[in-house]
Amino acid sequence: MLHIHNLTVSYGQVVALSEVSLEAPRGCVTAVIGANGAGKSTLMRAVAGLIIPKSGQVTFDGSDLVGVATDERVRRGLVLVPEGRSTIAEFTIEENLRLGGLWRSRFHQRESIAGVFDLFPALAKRHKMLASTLSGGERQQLAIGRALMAEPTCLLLDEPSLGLAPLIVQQILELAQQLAIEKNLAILLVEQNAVTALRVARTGIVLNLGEVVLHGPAQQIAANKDLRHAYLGY
Amino acid sequence: MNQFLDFSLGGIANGAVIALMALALVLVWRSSRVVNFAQVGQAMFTTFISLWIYEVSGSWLLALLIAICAGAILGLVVHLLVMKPVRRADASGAIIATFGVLIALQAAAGMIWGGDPKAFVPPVANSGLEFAGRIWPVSWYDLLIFAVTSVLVLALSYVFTRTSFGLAMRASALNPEVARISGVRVSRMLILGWAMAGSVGAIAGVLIAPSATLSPNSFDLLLVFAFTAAVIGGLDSLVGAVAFGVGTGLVLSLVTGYSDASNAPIVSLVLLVVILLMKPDGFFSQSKSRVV
Amino acid sequence: MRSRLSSHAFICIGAWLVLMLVNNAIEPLMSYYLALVAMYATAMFGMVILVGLSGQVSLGNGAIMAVGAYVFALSYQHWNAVISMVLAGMAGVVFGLLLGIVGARLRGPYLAGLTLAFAVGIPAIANRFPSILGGEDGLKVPAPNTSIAEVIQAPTYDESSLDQFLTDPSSAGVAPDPTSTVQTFDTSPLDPGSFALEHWQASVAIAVACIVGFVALNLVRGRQGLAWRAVRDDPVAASVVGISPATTKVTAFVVSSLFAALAGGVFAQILSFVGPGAFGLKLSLALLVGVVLGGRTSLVGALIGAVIVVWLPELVGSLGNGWNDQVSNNVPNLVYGLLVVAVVVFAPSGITGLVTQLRSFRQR
Repeated sequence: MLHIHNLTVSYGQVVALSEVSLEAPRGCVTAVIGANGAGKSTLMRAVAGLIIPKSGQVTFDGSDLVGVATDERVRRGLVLVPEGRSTIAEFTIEENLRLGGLWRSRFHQRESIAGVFDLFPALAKRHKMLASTLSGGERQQLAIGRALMAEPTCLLLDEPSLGLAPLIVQQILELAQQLAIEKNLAILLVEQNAVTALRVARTGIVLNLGEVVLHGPAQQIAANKDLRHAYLGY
Repeated sequence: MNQFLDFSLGGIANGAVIALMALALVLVWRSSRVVNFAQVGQAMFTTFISLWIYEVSGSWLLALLIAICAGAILGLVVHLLVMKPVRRADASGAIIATFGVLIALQAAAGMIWGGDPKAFVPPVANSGLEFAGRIWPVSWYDLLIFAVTSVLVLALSYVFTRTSFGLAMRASALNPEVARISGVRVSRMLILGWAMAGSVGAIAGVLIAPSATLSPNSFDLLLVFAFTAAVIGGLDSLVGAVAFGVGTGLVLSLVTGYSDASNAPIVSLVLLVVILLMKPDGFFSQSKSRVV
Repeated sequence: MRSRLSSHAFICIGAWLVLMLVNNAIEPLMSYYLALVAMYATAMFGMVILVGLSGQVSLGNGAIMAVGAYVFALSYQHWNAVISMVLAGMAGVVFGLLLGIVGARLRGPYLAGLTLAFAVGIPAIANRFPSILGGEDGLKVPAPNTSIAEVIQAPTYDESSLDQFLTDPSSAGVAPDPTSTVQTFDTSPLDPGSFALEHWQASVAIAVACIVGFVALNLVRGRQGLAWRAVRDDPVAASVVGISPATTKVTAFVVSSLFAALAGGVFAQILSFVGPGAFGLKLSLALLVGVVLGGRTSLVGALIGAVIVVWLPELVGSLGNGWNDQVSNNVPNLVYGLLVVAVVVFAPSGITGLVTQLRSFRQR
């Protein structure tokens, strides 16, 4: 369970996030939607510990994360899948996966790799090949797979659909929903692609210029026409 | 032809030391994208410490071990006190700071041990071996250098390619942010990278000292040669550093043999210019034009 | 535009007048230091442009000074000092162009390493052609007025100010060199108050520094300075607005090499002698240390840096009378090294940057 309370982030004078609060319970997808520059990625990076917020709290499974380094958050089960294809191109697929859970025992690593390969058979076939040989969708699978190697309880998915074909976007978002339910994960999903994201999410928030403008059940947000016109542009 | 063979064989031991120093430069480059121009200064300093231990204890092995430890500590100190606080955006500053460290270390060594060159007696004979009816330009000491270098290179490549620690090191070098979000303690990897580089440089210093003399400035040329080798090898590549380190040693030995030792830096400069004009990223670089 | 030009001219002529008055009022030894400061300032103006404004850390300028000094010495055997200075400057432009064409393509550490090799390699060339360049003994640069020159027996090369700046790399390392040539400076035969050779040398150095300072001021505060900064901070953005990064970087090399070569010509006259020992890596590092301490991006910083590089060894020498040579010879370098690190970490824009910060802090 991830709680974000009044989180404020600023880059110098510019306020990127202003008093954002939300919670992401386990077993479902929580969507964060908004246009370009709404502060979605900033939110994710702050939760992952890559940016230090100006004020506000992030609590994870009941403990405050202030001052906890990114790598420690990962080890506690809070894992970010960042925007873009964040795999290491010079590594093989297997090496990329192993990287995600290096601190765990060999036995657990092997178990997790087998689990990831079950989930993504395309990766299993080519585990000795370099990540640079993969297609965009496969690299996104690899990035998610690497995150799963940490045995997370909360996944932060930052724009997994970026630059992917619609069919693959559909697959990846449905996978997120499936992971949340089957593995009882809390998934925080950031998306520009609001329609698909709201379809797989249970609740959602809409960000605009760093502020939460709406907070509620996903269907309700999807049904709100005024809001769509005003903030999402469709 | 015989002469050519002699000059080539004579260059291998020197090349092995250049390779080690180049390796140290590469280790630092991979961990923090900085060329540590103070590396030879650190090596000079630890070699003085090692010489002192050697003279007191009489044990070369102990002296080498102390140098390795001192090198690691010095690398760690330089990283934590100097390089880490330099702002990441200030690329020029990082380079200048390494020269500051070099100047300070050379001055400190001069204060403690004086500027006069000191002799470092090799632990085994450093005169040409007699074999098959002639004297070869290879000594027992050269063989020792070669053995130590080979063991070290093999051990390092095992660590980097086969162990979890190596995977974490490589990930931190290639993409620190991805490493961090994968749970790797990147700042710890940086420290270890500098410490390892310090140790490798220290070994190079102890190994080369008997072939030259030891003074605060005596490794300046080694810096130029090692940098040349590391750049030709691609700065990123351990294999490249070793291969071109030995190669640079060979070329310099041939130049020295056929003409004069004072030509070596000029040849090194020409090599560097030609390579940088042809292949600005070197020959073994893995990551093409990765913007830092 | 015109008013800026004239105000720059006013500054430089004013500085020249003041410095010349000072030069006439002080003892020859002080004049000698003044000459050194002016010479270092000339070279460091170039370093500010290359390292500070265009962001290219180069150790090659000491070697370019060697080029300027040798060209001056060779030319001075046949022609007068003005022609020789012009030729030295032209040699600097040519070498700067060559170094720039290679160097401008390279990213930071590659460039630093290449110029490091250049700094170590170029002085060694003097030993390759002993018949022309005089080998390790170097070339003599006769004093302009023989009557003054007779008074001065020993070549005026003060050991303490320069030789302490890092011992000569060519006299150590792979090829140890026993013949290090160090002459001491002898002031006793000089009559204070008369226009000694030192006064003449200082007036040459001051004149060159003021002319170079004028050119540098106009470049730095004009369009070219803006272009250098733009390319340093964001080459892509600069090229989008029509500034060619390559040309701009090469220009920085050419200008700074011109200044360095002129400084080299002045140095040849101050030393009355040109030899490989004076132009090793230590000189290049001295230039770098000076601009970093003074303030990497400021011409005033270069002046401060020049004063520090000349004055600090003297200060330490006078403070450390009780120490043995081994310690006192190395203190200046230890201080330089630690200061450089401290400045880079705590005050990246050097002393001038600190002053600016203090001033704005007080105003608040």
